[in-house]
Amino acid sequence: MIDGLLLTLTVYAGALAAWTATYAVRGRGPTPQHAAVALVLQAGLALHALARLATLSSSAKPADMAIAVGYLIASVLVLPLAAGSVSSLLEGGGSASGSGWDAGVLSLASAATAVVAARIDAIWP
Amino acid sequence: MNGRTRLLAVSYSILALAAGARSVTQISTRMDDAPLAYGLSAVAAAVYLLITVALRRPTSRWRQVVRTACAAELAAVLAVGTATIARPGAFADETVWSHYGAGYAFLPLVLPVFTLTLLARNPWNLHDEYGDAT
Repeated sequence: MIDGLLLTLTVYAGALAAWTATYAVRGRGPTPQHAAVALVLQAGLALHALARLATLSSSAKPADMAIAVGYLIASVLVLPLAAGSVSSLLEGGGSASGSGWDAGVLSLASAATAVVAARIDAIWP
Repeated sequence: MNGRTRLLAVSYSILALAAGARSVTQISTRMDDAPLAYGLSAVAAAVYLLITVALRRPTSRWRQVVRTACAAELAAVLAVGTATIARPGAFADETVWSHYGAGYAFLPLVLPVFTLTLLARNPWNLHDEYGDAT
């Protein structure tokens, strides 16, 4: 079940990265819909991290536990880190207050999240 | 801070997070295996953190910090990247800068070049909404 959730989150983060990239290319800021989708992604990542930690004792462990936990922590920190730089997103979105660069920041953070999720999937048995 | 600089700062903060998490876990669990490689990754994380902070400061002094840190990081990526290709056994384990940052989508090589180019073309490029505060 956790693997299914992780795959869903990877695809979801990749889709958000592509969606926001189209706004960045057109010079438009993130909308409230982007903020909502990013929030759902963040909630899913937090849920996934908690589930992984909760089942550590009963499930198969990765060969390099330290690196795996590092990825797990990074997966829940990347989006909040980027959101701090996107004022329009924190204000609830809206192309009037944001710029294409804001959408670019969100796209970059979503892509990085997708990569981290894919790495977790690769190293966690 | 303009949009381009915000994107740069977030890129560097993600690199700082990735390199920092990697080096902290490696140093705390198996430092003896490859002290040079893990130490270099820790240095990389510190440099990325410094650049992230400096990019957010709209003064000429902090711009100089960005320029110096980016130049040092570029030199380190080129040196370590070349060493890992010329002598594959030079480091006991991978570092952030191994193979010119291939493990990080070559961002450690591309970002300092991009940042230094911006600064060389126009020093105000990083903070054109603020002007110089000093």
